[in-house]
Amino acid sequence: MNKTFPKLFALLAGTLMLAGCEESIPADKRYTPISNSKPVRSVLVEEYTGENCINCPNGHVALEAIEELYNTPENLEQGVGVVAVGIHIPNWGRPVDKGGFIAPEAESLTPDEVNPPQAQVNRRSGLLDRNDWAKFIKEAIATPTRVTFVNSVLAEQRGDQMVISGAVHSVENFNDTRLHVWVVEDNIVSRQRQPDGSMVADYVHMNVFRGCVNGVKGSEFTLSRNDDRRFSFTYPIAAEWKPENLRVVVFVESQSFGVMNVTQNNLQINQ
Amino acid sequence: MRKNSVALLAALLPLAASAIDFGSPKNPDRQVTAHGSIQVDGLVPEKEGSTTYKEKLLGDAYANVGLFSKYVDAGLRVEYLEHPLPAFYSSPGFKGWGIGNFYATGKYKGFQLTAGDIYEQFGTGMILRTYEDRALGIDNAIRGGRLKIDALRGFHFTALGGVQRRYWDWTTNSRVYAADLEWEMQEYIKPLQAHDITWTLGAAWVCKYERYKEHADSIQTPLPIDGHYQFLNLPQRVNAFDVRTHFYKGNVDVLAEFALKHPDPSADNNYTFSRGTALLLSATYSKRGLSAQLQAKRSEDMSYRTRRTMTDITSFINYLPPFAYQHTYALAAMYPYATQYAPGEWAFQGNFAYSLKRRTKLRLNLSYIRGIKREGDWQKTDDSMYGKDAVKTSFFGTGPLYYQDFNLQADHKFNRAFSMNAMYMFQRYNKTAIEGEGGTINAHIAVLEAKGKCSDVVTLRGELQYLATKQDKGDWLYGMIEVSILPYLMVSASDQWNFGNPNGEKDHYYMFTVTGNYRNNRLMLGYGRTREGFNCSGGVCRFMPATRGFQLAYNFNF
Repeated sequence: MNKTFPKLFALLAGTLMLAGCEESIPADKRYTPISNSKPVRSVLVEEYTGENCINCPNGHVALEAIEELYNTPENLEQGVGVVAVGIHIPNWGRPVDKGGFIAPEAESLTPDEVNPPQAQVNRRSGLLDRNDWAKFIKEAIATPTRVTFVNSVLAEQRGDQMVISGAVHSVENFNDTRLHVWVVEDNIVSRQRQPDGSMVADYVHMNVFRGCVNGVKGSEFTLSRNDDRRFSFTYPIAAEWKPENLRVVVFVESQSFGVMNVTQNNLQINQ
Repeated sequence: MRKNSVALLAALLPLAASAIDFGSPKNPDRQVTAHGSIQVDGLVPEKEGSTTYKEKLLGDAYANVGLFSKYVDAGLRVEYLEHPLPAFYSSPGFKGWGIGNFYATGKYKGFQLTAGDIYEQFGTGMILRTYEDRALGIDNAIRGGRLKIDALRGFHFTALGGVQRRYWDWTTNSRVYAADLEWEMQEYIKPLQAHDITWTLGAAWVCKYERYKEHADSIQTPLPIDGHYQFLNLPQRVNAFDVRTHFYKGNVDVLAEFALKHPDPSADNNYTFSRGTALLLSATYSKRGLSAQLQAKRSEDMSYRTRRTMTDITSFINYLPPFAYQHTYALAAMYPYATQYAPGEWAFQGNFAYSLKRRTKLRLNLSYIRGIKREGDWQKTDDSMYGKDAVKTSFFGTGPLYYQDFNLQADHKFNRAFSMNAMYMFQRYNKTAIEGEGGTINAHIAVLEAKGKCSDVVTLRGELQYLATKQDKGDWLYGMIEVSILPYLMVSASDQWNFGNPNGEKDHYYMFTVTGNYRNNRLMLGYGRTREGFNCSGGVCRFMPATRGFQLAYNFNF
């Protein structure tokens, strides 16, 4: 036994030396470029964020880079691209009535166990960390859909109200579809916690979710094959919103397929 | 079925007074002893701040039992965490219930083979430490197999392999293999024995294999490079090595340990490529009435996990010993230091204790922790660094102050019935570096604790604490009174008052508890508020949200 053990340990040591070699990856071999996909539809990105979330500015930068990549003038003309909505979630900032961005509907729209910055794509991806957004969006934006919007959705200001109208075309029958109409505001200057821990007072917030026009659960919206289904809503413009920064986001969701398509348009201001 | 079994087990076990023995007393080799415990912690939450819970009752429950004999040990632990306490409520993956731990060990003549869940530590844990800490929600046991050989005098060998637990996930995408060899030199070097020296040499190796299949597991740069997003090509295998020596003779104890980790791009280090290193030196002198300890540690990029995308306190393979005093007084623990695995730290600690002749003990602790000097700034999330070499660092150079703690305690026994403990502490805490915001907090803390026996049955204990700071939430005052009626009952009342809050929210965090002990049972009932903050143990910290409501804690051991 005593003579065997040293030999056994020597054998093990030798094995470990071989197994313990460094798996080195030279600097020029660390990246594999991902080909950009050709967008054939629009995708909805619901970004869960908060003014007290220190990593959220990095999330905003990542989302901006994705929007820049896909929301080219050519793509937007064809009605395809990335539609981002930043939902400020409970416990990560101030509610609207205290000067923040947490809308009353936010709790219902926030998934369980979210840890911002996270997002979901077309309500099919589940919660994604920042590093996975581009990957899922690339795949989703290249996936054909059977539902399209007929022309752009129209959103007009009429006094202190907005009137939203549009139409959806489907190439198949869908009985479980729902229509969602949201209001989003851009270019809001307010505070935001930074990655170094500091609080910046003049941060420019984009994609801020402001409200659900037709309720958190949307409206029942069955679609018939090769038919156009019209919609129209009226919604009050809250006093603290700037109409020139508002846009409307409209999407069709089904239980089976998630978000089937999404569109957006700026609010037309009537002087 | 499983729920009924758990309930039956919970109902029957408290009836047992002590460990249960089976087998024939005439044949000790066949004697089997059973040990186990039940732990239940509950909260009936009331609205506190903006936090709300769907459930009316939150709680964590653990029941474990082990059978021990000469040749075989076996055990399991059932956990019910379906509606966890607030500290774990928002942790993705934490909720669940079932058998969280099981094992079976065969033992024979210096050989030990275990199948199941394994807790193990090599040296101080700098490349491997698996353990359970329920207060922090940590259980990173390795599920697989372990072989321990102690059959050769003076040599201790351990080899293990398996998958690591993260809450209710034992993913096979990532596996850990490890081996450790320790040699007690005095068993073979006679002069060491002659001089009563114990001197060990140890070496360890750990390999983490984390699958990295293209597309399925790929990490992508969050920002495009040259107009394209890029997949990162990352190593699937990351090795870590550790060597250590421990010398003790008489009053002197010296430990030196060095660990090296191969490049391990992960979310902790912005997916950069650099080797991690850790060096620890510790020297202790102790004799009756006097002890002194000096320690130094430098660690860089030593976050070693089985899941490279994790950023919380889970999935660690290793553990870096804390170099900040672990305070138990409430206000002294207001700003606890969390060991900075990445990017790293320079840490120094001194502990001194001296007993004066007239029943007085003095204790002095000094902790001083700084970051590592590096080229440029380091941010915890720097998307531009993905796939690059880490910035260069200076070995002896230090970066920003992370933590500093000077505390002096005096403990005096006036007589058999009355004793007092007083502490003064000065603390500097870089809240921005450790928590992400808040600047550097300078705090002076004073504590006075008195304990007196009123009779053979009744003992009274009181604490008064004061924290003074011009930063964060300002000054705090803490008072506590506790009455123990031996051997069964203890009643306490306490309050933490933020009277110096510059924002005007001068909150009281009060707590009333009644604790009963009977045989192997302990039951605590309480009502009160707890403030939000970090609960730390061994330099590992978890954020605890503020709570209010009725609390229950039950423990049973056999």
